[in-house]
Amino acid sequence: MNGIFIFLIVLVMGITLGLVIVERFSRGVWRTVLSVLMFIVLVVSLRMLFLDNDVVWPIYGKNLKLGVDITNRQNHSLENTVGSWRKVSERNSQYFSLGSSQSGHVFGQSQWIFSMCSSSLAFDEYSFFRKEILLKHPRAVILYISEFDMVRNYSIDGVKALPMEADYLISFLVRDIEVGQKGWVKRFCKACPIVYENFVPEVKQGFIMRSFLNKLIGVSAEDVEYEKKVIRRKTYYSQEEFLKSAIIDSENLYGRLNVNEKGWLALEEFISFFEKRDIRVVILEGQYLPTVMSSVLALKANKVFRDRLMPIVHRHQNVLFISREGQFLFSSEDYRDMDWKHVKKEAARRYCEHLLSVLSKHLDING
Amino acid sequence: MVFNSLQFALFFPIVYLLYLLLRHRWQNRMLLVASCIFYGAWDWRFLALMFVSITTDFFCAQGIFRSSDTYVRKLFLVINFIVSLGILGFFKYFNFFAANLENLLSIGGMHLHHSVLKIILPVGISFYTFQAMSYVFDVYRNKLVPVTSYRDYALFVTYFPHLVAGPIMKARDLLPQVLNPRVVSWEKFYGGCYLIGWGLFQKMFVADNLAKIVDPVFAGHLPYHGTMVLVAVYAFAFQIYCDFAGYSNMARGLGRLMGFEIMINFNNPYFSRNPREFWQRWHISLSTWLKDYLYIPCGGSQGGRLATYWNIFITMLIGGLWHGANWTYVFWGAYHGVLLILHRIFQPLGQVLARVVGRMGDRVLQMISALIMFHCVCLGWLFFRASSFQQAWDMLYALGWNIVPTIREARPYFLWLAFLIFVLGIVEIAQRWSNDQDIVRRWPLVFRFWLYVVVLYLWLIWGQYGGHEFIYFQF
Repeated sequence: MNGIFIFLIVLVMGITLGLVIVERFSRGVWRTVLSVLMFIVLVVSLRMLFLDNDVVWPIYGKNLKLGVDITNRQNHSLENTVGSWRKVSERNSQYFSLGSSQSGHVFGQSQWIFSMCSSSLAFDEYSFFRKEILLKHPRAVILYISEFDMVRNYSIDGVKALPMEADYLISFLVRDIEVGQKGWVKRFCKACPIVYENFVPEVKQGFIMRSFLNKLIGVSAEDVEYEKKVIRRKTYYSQEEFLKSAIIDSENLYGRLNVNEKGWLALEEFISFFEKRDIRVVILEGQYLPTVMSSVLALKANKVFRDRLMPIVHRHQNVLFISREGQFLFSSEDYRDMDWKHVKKEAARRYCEHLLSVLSKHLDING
Repeated sequence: MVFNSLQFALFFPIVYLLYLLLRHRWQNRMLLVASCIFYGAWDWRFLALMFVSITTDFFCAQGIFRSSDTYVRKLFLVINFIVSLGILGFFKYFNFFAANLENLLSIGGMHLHHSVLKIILPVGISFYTFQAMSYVFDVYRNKLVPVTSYRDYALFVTYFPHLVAGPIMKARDLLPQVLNPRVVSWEKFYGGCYLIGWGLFQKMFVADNLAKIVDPVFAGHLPYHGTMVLVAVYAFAFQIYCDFAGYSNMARGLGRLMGFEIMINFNNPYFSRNPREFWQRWHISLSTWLKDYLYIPCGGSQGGRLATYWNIFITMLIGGLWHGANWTYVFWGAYHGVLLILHRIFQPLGQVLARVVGRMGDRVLQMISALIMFHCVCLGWLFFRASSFQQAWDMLYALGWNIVPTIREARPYFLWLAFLIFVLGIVEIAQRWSNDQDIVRRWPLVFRFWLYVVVLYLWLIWGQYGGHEFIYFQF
């Protein structure tokens, strides 16, 4: 870190001296050209210093706390960027898990699995992680998906927090905008800031600087305040009330049961991408609270889910599907003291141990 | 479509490219179409309303100019005022006056039940109405020869950089620029870009971030704590300044890119040492309009002391009402009217004091005056921003009786406020010190470079990109 500050001081002094020389010895167009050049040098250097190296990101990750300094999505964005700079060890080089926050809770603590997640990640958004996955050279990609993912449409704001994948971003937005279709101008206007933010990392990762300033002066950003409210709710509400709200949330979800065609297409495209590169994709049928999972509505939803998923599984040679029956089953206790939607660390650890034994039977990988 | 929105970022380059390619006559036609698109982006229906006003102004001005009969000239002027003020009055003040009339009659035991009409306030109506009225009035006073081209006159009113929130340009300043070919130079281009950049910084970094401090306090959901009220009032003072001055700077910048010179609307108002100076520096286009078309025609300072005070008071009262149909705005106008009158009364005393304290003492006195004036303005802002007198009173009460126990709580917000206005403060001090709004552009390269870098990064990282509307749009 000291090296960064020394470099920064040298940079500022160098640019200042350069500007004094430019003003003294150059005129007209040359002065403008040289000033612009120095500006570019400065911007590139600052970007390298604060956003583009493996020293600073772990520091950001260590100092910015979820719910205090940053929001849920910002935290996922931060963790994913820290993860993208982290070198893979021998042990966790073989599996790469990708999914929503539940996936993060299940695989985040595992030594064997390199995990990246983003809250409410939709199928459409999976391909934003393709580059990150390839850089880690895994032999298998683990997707933990359930009925919840089927009804989930991506949120355009969420895309802002995902890793940059320029070529996919463009194709994603072009597909999403549907030029000529009703409301395309509105969709286009929503898409432009995403492109802008993805090509200007200072904007996209600006929350780091904002959070540090907030931390320094002791002020909470508006969205951090929102997170604080969530934490407060967790403290104030009883477990029973939370359980009730989790069940209502799930029922609402089944009520909105539809098939996100674009999402399924995106999932298949994601799988095909890795099939071409000879990388296995393990699809784990996601679990949720047992009492909710066994309801009539849930069973109906599960049927629709499987009806859509299985043809995809059969079409691709690289897919291994593991149903709930073949997995370690979480009990209601494993969801207690969380929000009844995500599982506890201990339960996640047991799940991962069991999963590795299952995977070693099915895949030719030394786990 | 607002200047800080994506739509405008896509709209303006196309307009500007066409503008550079066309000749003067076609430039005007294209600008008129572009202005209609710009305005129509809010609501196409109100374009028709605007053109009703434009058409009336145009033909009334022609009528006034062609006639030598005083009666006919007056008749055209009155027709124009009835139409212009009628439209403004209906859309902006109908519910306000009807509700107040109802309240007034109920005091005398009469009950009148007016139904509240759901009227949408057309954006910029107060601005373009005042601008158009100045044209007809100038023609009436033989200070201006009316234009013969309806298209050129329509462009004068609808010219998009200043259409929705001013500055309210006088016809004799803007019309010649519409009628004659304009020159676009490298110098003007750089100057325009500078103004747009600075305006965006004022709006997206300073004003929109300050709104996060101001809005929750004025929303009134929580009990008022003195220090939070204090920080919110300070924050609002800078929010409204940067919001409006930011818009005006962008309007001037856009105009300058096209070779137009749009008047300065703000000239470091918070360094004013007295109310009179404040109104010479704050919303200059409105205050000069009120002076030229209301205060002076009412008699100005020609009719003795009491008449002068009355004219000042009425002018400021109407200025307050111009801002919106709410008694808090009227009170705000009256408050500034009283400040101006008090200043007139005590001005000789100030001059004597300045002579007594000498040159050094005068400097200190001026700084103290500026500080007092700033706080007087802030007090006015409290009423201006409050949704009701009750809220304003509750907040004032909190300021007076509940300030010490809450200092700790508000500390981070004071720091946040200081962070947001730090760069603005440096530039404002430099401008005031040199009495030159363009001083930054004349700074040595090193200072300019670092200022631009800091502004850029603050804007990139802390800028609010939601295309938030400007406060003055509601007026």
